[in-house]
Amino acid sequence: MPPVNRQWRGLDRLARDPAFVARASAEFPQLAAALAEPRDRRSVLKLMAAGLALAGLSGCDDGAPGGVLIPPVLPADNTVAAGSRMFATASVLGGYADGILVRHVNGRPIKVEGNPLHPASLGGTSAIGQAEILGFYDPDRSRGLIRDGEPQSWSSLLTTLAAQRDALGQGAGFRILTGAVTSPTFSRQIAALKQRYPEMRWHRWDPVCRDAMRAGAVLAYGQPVEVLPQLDAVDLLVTIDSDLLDSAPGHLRFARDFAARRNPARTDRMSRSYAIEPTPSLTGVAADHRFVVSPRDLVRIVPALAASILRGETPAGMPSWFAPLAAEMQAAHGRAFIHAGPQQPAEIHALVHAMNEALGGRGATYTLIGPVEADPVDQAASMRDLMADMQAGHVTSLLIMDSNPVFTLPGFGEALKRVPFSMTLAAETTETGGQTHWTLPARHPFEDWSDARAYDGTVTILQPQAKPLYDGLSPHALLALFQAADQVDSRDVVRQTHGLTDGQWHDALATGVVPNTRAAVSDARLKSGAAQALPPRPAGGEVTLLFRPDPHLWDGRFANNAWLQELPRPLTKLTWDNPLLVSPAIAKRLGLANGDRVSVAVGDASVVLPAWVMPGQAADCAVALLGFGRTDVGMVGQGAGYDVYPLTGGGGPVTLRKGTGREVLACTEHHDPIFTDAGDYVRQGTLAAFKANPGFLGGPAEQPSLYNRKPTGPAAWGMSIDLNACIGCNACVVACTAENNIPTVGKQQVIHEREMHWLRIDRYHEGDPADPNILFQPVMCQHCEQAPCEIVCPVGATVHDQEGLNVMVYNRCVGTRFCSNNCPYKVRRFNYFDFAGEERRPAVARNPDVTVRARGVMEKCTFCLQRIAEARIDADMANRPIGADEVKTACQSACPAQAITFGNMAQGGDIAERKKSPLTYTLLDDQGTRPRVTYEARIFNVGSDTGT
Amino acid sequence: MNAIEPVTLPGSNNPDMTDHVSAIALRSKAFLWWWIAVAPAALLTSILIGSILYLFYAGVGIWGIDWPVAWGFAIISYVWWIAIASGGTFISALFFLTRSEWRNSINRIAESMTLFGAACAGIYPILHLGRPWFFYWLFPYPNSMGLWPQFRSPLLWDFFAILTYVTASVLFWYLGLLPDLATLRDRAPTRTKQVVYGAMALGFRGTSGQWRHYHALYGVLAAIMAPLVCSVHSIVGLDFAGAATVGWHSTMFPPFFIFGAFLSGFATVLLLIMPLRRLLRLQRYITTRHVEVLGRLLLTSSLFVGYAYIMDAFTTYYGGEKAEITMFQEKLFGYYAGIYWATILFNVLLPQLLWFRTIRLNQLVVGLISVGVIVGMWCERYTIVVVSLHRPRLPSSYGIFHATIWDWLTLTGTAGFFVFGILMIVRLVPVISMFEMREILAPRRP
Amino acid sequence: MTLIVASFESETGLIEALPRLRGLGAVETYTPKALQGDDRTSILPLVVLIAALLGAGAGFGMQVYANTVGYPVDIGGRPEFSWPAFVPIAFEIGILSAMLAGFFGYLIVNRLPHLYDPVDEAMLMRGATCDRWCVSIRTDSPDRTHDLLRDLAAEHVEELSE
Repeated sequence: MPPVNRQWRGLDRLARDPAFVARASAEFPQLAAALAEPRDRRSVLKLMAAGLALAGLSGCDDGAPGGVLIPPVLPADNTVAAGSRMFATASVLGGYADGILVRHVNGRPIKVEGNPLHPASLGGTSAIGQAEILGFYDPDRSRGLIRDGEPQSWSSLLTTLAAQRDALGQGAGFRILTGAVTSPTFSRQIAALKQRYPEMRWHRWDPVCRDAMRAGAVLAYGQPVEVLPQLDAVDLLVTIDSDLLDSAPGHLRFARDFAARRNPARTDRMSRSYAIEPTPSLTGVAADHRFVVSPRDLVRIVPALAASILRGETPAGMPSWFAPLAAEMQAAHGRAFIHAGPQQPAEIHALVHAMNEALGGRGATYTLIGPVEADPVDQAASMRDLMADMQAGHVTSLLIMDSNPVFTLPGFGEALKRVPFSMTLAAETTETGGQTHWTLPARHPFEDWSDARAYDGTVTILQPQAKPLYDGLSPHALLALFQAADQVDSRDVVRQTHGLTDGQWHDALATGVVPNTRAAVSDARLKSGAAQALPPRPAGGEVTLLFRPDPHLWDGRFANNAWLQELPRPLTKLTWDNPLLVSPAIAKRLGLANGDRVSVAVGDASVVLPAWVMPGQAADCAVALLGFGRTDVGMVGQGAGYDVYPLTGGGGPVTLRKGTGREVLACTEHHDPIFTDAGDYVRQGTLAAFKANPGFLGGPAEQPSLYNRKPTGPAAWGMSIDLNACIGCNACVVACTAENNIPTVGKQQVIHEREMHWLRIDRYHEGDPADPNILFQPVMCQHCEQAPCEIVCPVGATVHDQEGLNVMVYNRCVGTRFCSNNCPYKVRRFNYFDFAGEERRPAVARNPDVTVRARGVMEKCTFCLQRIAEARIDADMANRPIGADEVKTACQSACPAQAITFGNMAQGGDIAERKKSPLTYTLLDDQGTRPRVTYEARIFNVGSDTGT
Repeated sequence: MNAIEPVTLPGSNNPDMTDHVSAIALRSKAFLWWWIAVAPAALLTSILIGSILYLFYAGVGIWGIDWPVAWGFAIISYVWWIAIASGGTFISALFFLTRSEWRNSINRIAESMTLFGAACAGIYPILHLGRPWFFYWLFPYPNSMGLWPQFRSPLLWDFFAILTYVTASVLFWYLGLLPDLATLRDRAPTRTKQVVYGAMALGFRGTSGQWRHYHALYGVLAAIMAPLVCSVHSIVGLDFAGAATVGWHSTMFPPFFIFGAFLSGFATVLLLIMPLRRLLRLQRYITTRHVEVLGRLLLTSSLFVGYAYIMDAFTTYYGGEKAEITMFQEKLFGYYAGIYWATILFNVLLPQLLWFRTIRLNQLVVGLISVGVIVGMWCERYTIVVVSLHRPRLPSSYGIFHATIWDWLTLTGTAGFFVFGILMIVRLVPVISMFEMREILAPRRP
Repeated sequence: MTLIVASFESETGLIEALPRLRGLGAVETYTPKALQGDDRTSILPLVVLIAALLGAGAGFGMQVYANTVGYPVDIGGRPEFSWPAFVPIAFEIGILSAMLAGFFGYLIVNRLPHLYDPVDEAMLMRGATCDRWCVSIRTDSPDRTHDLLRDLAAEHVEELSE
């Protein structure tokens, strides 16, 4: 049976399987009748479902992954120790790939890890990448072919496509709409289609796109080159409204390289970084100096900066930090790098290119490469054309893949009504799918073969991790069907693209990278005009409205992912909602408190949503977060947040008015947003002070105590967290959630302060609300040697083990919650309800090595005990002690910046080294709890020459 | 009514008293007021049962408790009830040892109050558990896994303390009841009552031996009950002081809690005897003297409690620990400040009125002050539990607490159960310890 | 054997009568409250004391055994024999056993429960728990007893034949 057919073992196929029909009809006599009358949709589906259960019973699936998957041939150092098998693939966002390994237990994928061999990952993952496994198991994923609301059979799709192939002719009216694509196979197939339909057009649309950067590169170099920073070589980093560490392609790698130069206890050449931005970003929080500048000033300041660097001018009317910064940049010739974010206009990017060249960074701190994206286009323009043609009725057939324009592009829905034949291929239910004639369920990336390129061009083959959970169609197969009648297997298509030998193919699959596919360094020359580029002044008006993707839901595609919905946003600690982020100044002017409703109007488009005061945001700025307010989405995302896309369409001045009433928002931090003494918890100091006395922040070695009992086991587990490396990206939190079967509780329970995350990232604002010092601190169970929680438990449900772990015995817990009261760090979480039972998540999606906690039981971080146990078994079998770095906790292996180190201190290794750092201190050391978790204090490289 | 009456009015004598008191328990029909009082009490009791069933079905999530405020009404009300119960023991045991005559006529009421106060308190620790059906795991019973409870936990001390206290109170109460049950047996008008009271009296006939051992034992047990009740309430205090939690970690808590027990105990006894002496026409034996004495005791214990509050503030600021001070500021001026100041008003300021004799003798005012004290003591526990927990050491884990309807239903339910119990006592056994009254009454009618 | 029950008007009357009645047979008194001048001691206080000590000792021992031998676990880095933490429970168990010993000891020394006794047949006994001072004499010489009681000015006399 050809592979495609094999995958289509769907309801309709079963319907055509006489053996099945016979068996099912025996059980359900109505079935035959219902089949004869296929428009009786509900009964058919009902009976089929019942029948399917029967079919399942008849031949239970061992769940072993289909196709050939080859485990890594080169187990790298920081591959996670696990008795499970890992398979390489990639998680793709906005077209760019981050290499990942998917851990399989009993043949089913249960956890995402970073791929240490992949240049964009080096073992780290993003929060979104970590959460992809939940999306894979999402019961709300679309299944079954639908045309105009009616279920369709595979054969009827084939006939329809056959008709299309004939009707399309030269393809004048044939349009394909996708997001940005880096997949060589996909572009090869598009090219082939263009052969057959010379006049067809391929449009691209991402609501969160990088058009401006491309345009800037064209302005500067005449071609869409891309910048490839080497942050570990950068001494002076200047970021302008940048997403370098947040979400830029390769941000995981950047975080790693950046962190490598941030801890003075380990590097004698600590880098210095300046962030100039209107609203706080992870990049800005990680910087030594953060300058809050409104976009309307940026278009004045950046050209001035360029003028002083390129032409040695000294512009007037600049802020106090301007001159020293310019001087310092010039001084750092060949060691500096400037980066501007995608939200900045093309001209600013051109100027940045010019400055980088002038500062001699090219080749030293960054290189230029040809475009990674296949056939990059100006997406905005491309969409304008498409919409115009649709309105004019020139578009006869529209195929939409991996894009949701009806939701993300105001007016698209209207235009779509004028298209005679439209088809959506999507893995989830989307607003667009609801409005096209055909809706085809796409395979999840974990079910399909494909390929994609990383930020540096490196190609990864995406291989399926399991048999499709639901009937799904591969985009490659669909493109092929537009090309010709014969059905192809996506694997063969991908294989053809790369023309690898069997050996190379296997290695590529095993390592997760195709060797020697890094993009070639471009030798494009800077155009003379670049230096004179002049950015347009943004429209006046007292409020500047900025649009940003939600850090976790992105453009809305992850709205049905409960882990991401409930993940406290790094800077606001909000879950399940996207209030309008207003600057303290605006809040003061309009008398807004957190949660107050405010109505935002852009031209004639307006939205009413709650407001949230964002310390450190430029006085005139309000930030609207995209991605919430999905209407046609699974049960999880239903009714979460507000849709602000309508505002993106409106032109004209922005007006803010205080609305009536207040919303209760699910925020996981309830303290006064501004602090004066966060330093008590997040110890911090300047580099100068550190040089004077390295130990100036470290706590006393150990508090005196009446008790001297110490764990005596062969291993001694400990963790060290480097606050200089942590960028607060939340990857560790999702990793912990995935590894430890931590339930989500939903918005209401978060409002009720019952969130369950074992690992939280505390966020403190310190100082002036207009320009505060923002600090992150990951906090999990500190595994105290003198654990207060243990003494107060009446049944001994939490005790200490010989290796220094504070272990929680769920089965013994009766739920007095005294341990939580007595925990100074408040890291214990309680199952007030049967949270795990209420989760919309199939049991197979859970980690089989971790107990699922019952109602009325206390739980907390275990240092990933299951991983320790696995390593202990291996060590015992080999009759050797457990190696120092043999066990990696989920949070540790997920961290892109390697902020978290864990290990067996008894065996030395990294952990022992880091514990020796002069910056090491314990949280609340006056409590004398002797935690096994220690922190390395945050050091700011602030020079006397530049004042904040 | 400025002249304070003696402990019993002149002319009172044993036969009249015995007739009167046993008649109350033995009368064939209950008073009308009794029915009027018992109806709402029974209703609230059934509400209590209902909310307990729903709690077991749905889980403690139905309450307002959250993270970080993991303890709420269950613990507040538990401490509140156990304090009320302790007050009864003080009167019946402590003042027995001091041979205070006035104690004889009210110790039955006081002990009954202890009985049902302890019962109300006793159910809360079980309801409070996340998995209440496993409460017996706190008991050191032999089990196949060789598991033991964790004896260092104040909660386990508490478990044993309550177990002992409830058992001891029942035994003490029953022992004190034996001679009076015998009296009822000998005067029972119907066969049924004769049999029932006879069985309960266990064959007590007032023989020389029975009396001799009785007095020897009763004295000893009283001497045990007094330290027991102190230990119980100290251990309740250690449930908090034993933790390193902000606002709890104070060596002052055990005595502090005992003062509280005195205060709420006396207030509750006052609230019981003042209506009962009227409704049951006991003015002869429970006189304004009793009200006056209890009024003074109320004032005294209120001064004790006031002292504790002052020391609470003093140690906080003198200790100078930041988290403690932050929490205390929150207590004084924060979201829950109203509750703290209500505590001060009801427990310390209002009782100062009792300095005046006329006020002590004005039963209405004394009643209002007592109600205030009982409310105030509940507020005090609310401050101790909730306000302390909602400001932990790390600002990142600050939180808030809001009670739900189920919190309130359970609380009022136990109140109903308490009244219900007292009414049953009033109906079925002598509300005054007759044989002890005989010690101070004329043996015969004049 | 005849059982004679007599009641006296006052406690003193009964007390004075007792020595002379004792010569006639087995005498038992039934009084509304304890008779004065009965200075015999009771064993119960001693029983209670011993029970308290034993209970407390056993309670302490149990905790020491559990934490050192039976189930030694590292709890918050505390020593296994952290005796101060064991005191409260030992105390409570001591009290509990004292109370139980006292109560049941009382029942035992008085042979309670003792629901029926021939003397109950006497109507006089009804008042014994209120204001009558009763005495019962089991004697072989009822007549002499009656005479004596008359001399002693007993209030009422009642004879129950067995």
